[in-house]
Amino acid sequence: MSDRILGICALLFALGFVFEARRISAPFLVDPLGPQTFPMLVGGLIGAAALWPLVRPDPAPAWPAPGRIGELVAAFAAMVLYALALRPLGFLLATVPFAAFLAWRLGGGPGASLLFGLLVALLLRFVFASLLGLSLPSGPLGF
Amino acid sequence: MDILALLGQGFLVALSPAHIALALLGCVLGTLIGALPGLGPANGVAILIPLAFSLGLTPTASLILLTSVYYGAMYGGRISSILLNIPGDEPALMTTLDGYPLARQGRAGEALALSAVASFIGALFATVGLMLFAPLLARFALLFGPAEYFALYGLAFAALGGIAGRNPAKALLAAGLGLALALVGYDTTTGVPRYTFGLMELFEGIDFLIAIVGLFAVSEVLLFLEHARGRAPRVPALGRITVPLRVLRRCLPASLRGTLLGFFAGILPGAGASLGSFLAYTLEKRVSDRTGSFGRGDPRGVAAPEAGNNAAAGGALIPMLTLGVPGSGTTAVLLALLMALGITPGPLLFAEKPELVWGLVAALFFANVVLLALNLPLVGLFVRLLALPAWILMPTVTLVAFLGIYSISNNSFDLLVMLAFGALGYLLRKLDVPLVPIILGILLGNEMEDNLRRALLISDGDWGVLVQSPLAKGLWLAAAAALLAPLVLGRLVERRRRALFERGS
Repeated sequence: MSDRILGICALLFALGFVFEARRISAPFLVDPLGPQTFPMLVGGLIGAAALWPLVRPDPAPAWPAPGRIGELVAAFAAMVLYALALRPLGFLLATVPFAAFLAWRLGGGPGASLLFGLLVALLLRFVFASLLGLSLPSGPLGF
Repeated sequence: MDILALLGQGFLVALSPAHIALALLGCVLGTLIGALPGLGPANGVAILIPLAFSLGLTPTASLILLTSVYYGAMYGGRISSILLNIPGDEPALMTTLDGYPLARQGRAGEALALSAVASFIGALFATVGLMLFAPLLARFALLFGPAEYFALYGLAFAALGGIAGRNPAKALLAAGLGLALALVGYDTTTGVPRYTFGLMELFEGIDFLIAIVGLFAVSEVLLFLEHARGRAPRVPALGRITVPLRVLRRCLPASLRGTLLGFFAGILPGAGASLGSFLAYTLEKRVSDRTGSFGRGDPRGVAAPEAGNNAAAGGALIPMLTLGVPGSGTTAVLLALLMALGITPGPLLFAEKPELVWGLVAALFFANVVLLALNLPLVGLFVRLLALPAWILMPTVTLVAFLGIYSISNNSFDLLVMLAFGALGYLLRKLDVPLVPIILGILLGNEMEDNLRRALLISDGDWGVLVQSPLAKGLWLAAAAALLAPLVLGRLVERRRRALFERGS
C-alpha cells in the first residue's frame, strides 16, 4: 500500500512537472532543444519509474506506532519553530529550549536536559561565534 | 618520475602548517563521525560542508579537511562494529561478522589494532592507486565530447540504480526527482525562469547544500527519533590494543586481497565501499575458511573487509575527481563541496589545478599516517565517546546542521527548505527509495542538460549524435548492463548477504 501511494504521488508529480514544462516560454530560439525538452524527458523518466511501485509494490515498511508518530511530529514541529524563532529571539533564547526539548524527548531527564540545553548553547556559541567567527543571530536582548 | 615530482609539489602544499592542522582536525572529526552509530560518513561530511564554505577556506584547504573526515570515517566505522555489533556506517557492516565475536572473546583490543592496520594498508594502496590511475583516466576523459558526457551521466545513474539499490525502479525515480530539483531556477542557456512559481527565493535554484544536509542529516535525526533509545550502549573491556606479529602476518594476504577488490569496487560508479567490503569478506571466506572459523572471530574476517572498505574509499575518489561522477554517497557529497567552491571536477582539473589535486593526494597520505597513529594508541578516547547517550549526541548534531545552513545565508527560509528536505528524506528512506541518486541528480542535472543541448546544437538537432561515437555506444551499453545485471546478480548478492547474517546471529 505504501508503495502504491508513492507511485501515485510520483505519477502526479511527473504530470505536473511536464505540464509546467509546456508553459515555459523561450523568448527566442537559441538551441534546437530549448528550455522545455529536458524537463519533459525528466518528467517522463519519473512517470515511467513511478509505474513499477504501482504495479509491483514492495512489502510495506514498518511504520512507527501512533505514539511514535506523535513524537516525530512533535520533534519536527520543534525544528520548524526553531527555524522561525532563531532570528527574532536570538541564538541563546531559541536554542536552550529547543535543545532541551529534543534531549528530553530522546530520554534525558528533565533537569539534565535543561542543563544540557544551556551548556550546548553556550558551547556552540563559543565555537561558532568566537572560534570560527561566524555570525549568529543576536535577538532583542543582544545574545 | 613525473608523478613523483608532482607528488613532491603536492607535499609542499599539504604540509603547510594550516593544512596539517586541518588534516589533523579532519581525521579526529572523521573517526568520531564514523564511530558514532547513526552518523555515517555522508551525513558527517554533509554537515561540515556549509561550515567549510562559510569559513571561507580555500578550495585546497576545504578539500583536505573534508577528505580527511572521509578517510577518518572509514577508519572509525569499525570501532562500533567490533565493540557493539552496531556498524558505525554501512561499509563497516561486514566487520561485525568476525569483529564482534572477537570482542566477546576478550580480544577487542586486538581486533581494533588489527583492523586499524588493515585499514591503513587498504587506504595506503588505494591512495597510491589514485595517484597512478587518476591522471590516466583524466587523460582519457579529454576525449569526451558533450554526447559522451551525456552518456556518462546516464551510466552513473544506471550504475547507482542497478548496483547500489535493491529496486532499480526506485533508484530511477530518485534520479528523476533529483534532476527535476536541479531544473528549478533560471535556465542557464536562455535565462528563462523554470519552476520558480514567481518565488524570488527559487530564482537562483535550490541550493544543493541545503538539500543535501536536509536529505541526509535531518532525515537521519528523524529516523533516530523513531527508535529513540535512552541509554548509552555498554562498551566491553578493550584489553591490550596490540596485535601479535604472528596474527598480523597471517592476515597480511587477506588485507592485500581485500585492498585489491575494494579498490576496484570503489572505482565503479555507484558501487562504493559497501560493495567493496562485502566482496572482500566473501572472497576471503571462500579462499581461507577451511575450518569454518569465519563468523566466530577469525582475525582474517576483520582484516579483509576493513582493508576493502578503506581501499574502496580511495578508489571512489577517482571517478569523482577525473570525470565529475561520484562513485558513492560520500563522494557525491564531496562533489557538492567542489561545486559549492566553484570548481568543476573533470579531466581539466588535473591540468588547471595541479596544486589542488596533488595537494589532496599528499594530504591523503599524511592523513593516513595520522589515522593509524590515532587509531592505535588513542582508540580508547574514541571508545569512551561511544558511551555518550543519544540524548546528548543527536540534539548536538541537529544544532550543528542548523547552524551550518544558517551560516550560509543567515535566513530562516533556507532552514525551512532544509527541514522540508529532511521530512522528504525520512519518508523516502522508509519507502526504501535511495537518496544518493537524488543528490547526484541535483548535482549533475544542469551539466547533463547542458551537454545534451550542446550535443544537439552541434548535430543541428539530430538525436543520432548521442550514440554516434563508439565511446558513446560503449557507455550506453555499459549503462544498460549496469541497470539490468543486478536484477539477476543483485538478488544473488542480497541472498548471500542475508545468509551470512542469519548464520551469524
